[in-house]
Amino acid sequence: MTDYRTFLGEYDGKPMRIMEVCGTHTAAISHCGIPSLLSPKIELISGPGCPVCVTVTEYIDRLVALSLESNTVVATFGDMIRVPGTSKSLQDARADGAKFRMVYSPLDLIKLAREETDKTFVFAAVGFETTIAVYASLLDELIAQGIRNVKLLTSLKTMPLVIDWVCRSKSGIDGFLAPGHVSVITGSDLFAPIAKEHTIPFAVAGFEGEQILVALYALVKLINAHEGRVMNMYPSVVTAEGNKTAQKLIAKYFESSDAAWRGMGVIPRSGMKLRAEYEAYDAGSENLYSDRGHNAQCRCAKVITGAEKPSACPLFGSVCTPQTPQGACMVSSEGSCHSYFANRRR
Amino acid sequence: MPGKVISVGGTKAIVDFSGNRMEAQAGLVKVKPGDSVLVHAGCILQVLAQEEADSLSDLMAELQNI
Repeated sequence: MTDYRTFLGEYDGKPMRIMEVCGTHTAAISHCGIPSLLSPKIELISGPGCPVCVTVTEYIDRLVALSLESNTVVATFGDMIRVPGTSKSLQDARADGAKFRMVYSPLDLIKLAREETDKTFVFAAVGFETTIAVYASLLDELIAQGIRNVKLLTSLKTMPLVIDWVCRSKSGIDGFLAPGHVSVITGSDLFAPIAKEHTIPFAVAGFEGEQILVALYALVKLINAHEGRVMNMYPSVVTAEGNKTAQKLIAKYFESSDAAWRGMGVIPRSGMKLRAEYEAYDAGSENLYSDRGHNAQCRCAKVITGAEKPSACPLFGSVCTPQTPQGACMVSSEGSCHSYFANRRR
Repeated sequence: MPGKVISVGGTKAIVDFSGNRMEAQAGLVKVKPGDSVLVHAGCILQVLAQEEADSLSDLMAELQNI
């Protein structure tokens, strides 16, 4: 077998830019020190796959407003608590009486809702296909158990069309490290039409350092061979067709919709929303499209699209740190800016 | 990090992560005790295939010829 580590370190062919789409990949790449193992001719660019980072400020503002309503409690993964809206984050709003709980899983709401029937719990339902499957499971349980005091504020995104947007934006990306956990649900075939149309390769990767290196090796080979196809380098959990049970459950509760992305605006049919028959579980997710950060110099929008590296932002590491985040990319551990700062990448 | 299924009851399973045991939703994939599983936000998404090593070897051999 080829020593792929040597190959990647000594590569001296044409320069290439490879985008890791998934935020968990961004974090793993930094954590494992992968950039230091690559030839200078191979540049890694972080893409729009951190769900918190691509969420627009109007959604955060709505979440804050809900947390201030009487008998309403916002439940969320931890990252969302510190993401700044137009003027404040959930954490900032605590002084005004904001009520929120951090949970490990959306399914934790079943116990909370049963124990505190006088409250309505609103889950901050952001995420991609992987997490949409979990929200579908939650809805299944809520309906089966007759629980009515849980709602979702949705800002759900799907992968194919945003990657297509990146391909059309003349970003100069030569290949994509495809998201492993999204692919578990959707199947690796999801990316095949884009790979073919743009003649650009995809390699589905796991999240261990060796798994990422193997996928990068595949990409460098495929880019040089001008092959627009998908290679599944994470075969232990990813199949070509994905998890059909999860896909059916998602389709039962959600339908395709337009979605607003920080830095990219509204991309038609790039998201999902609750189907009309389940609108009783919606906390007012329609038309949350506006995006106005509270610091005008924040470059999150350019970082998310791969147009700039975090270190190019004038706020990076000075005004903007994980303790004082000015944009979502510095809040989430999956955010590019947080990852660059915590691992001293430049 | 994959976990190992300890027990299954209805749509719930107890999964062990290096000694930490947690309840996970098991409605999206069929699991049985002993399975290595991928869990995301409290939900089992997939059972890890045992033949991964063989598949990867085939893929790497294919890449060498590109």
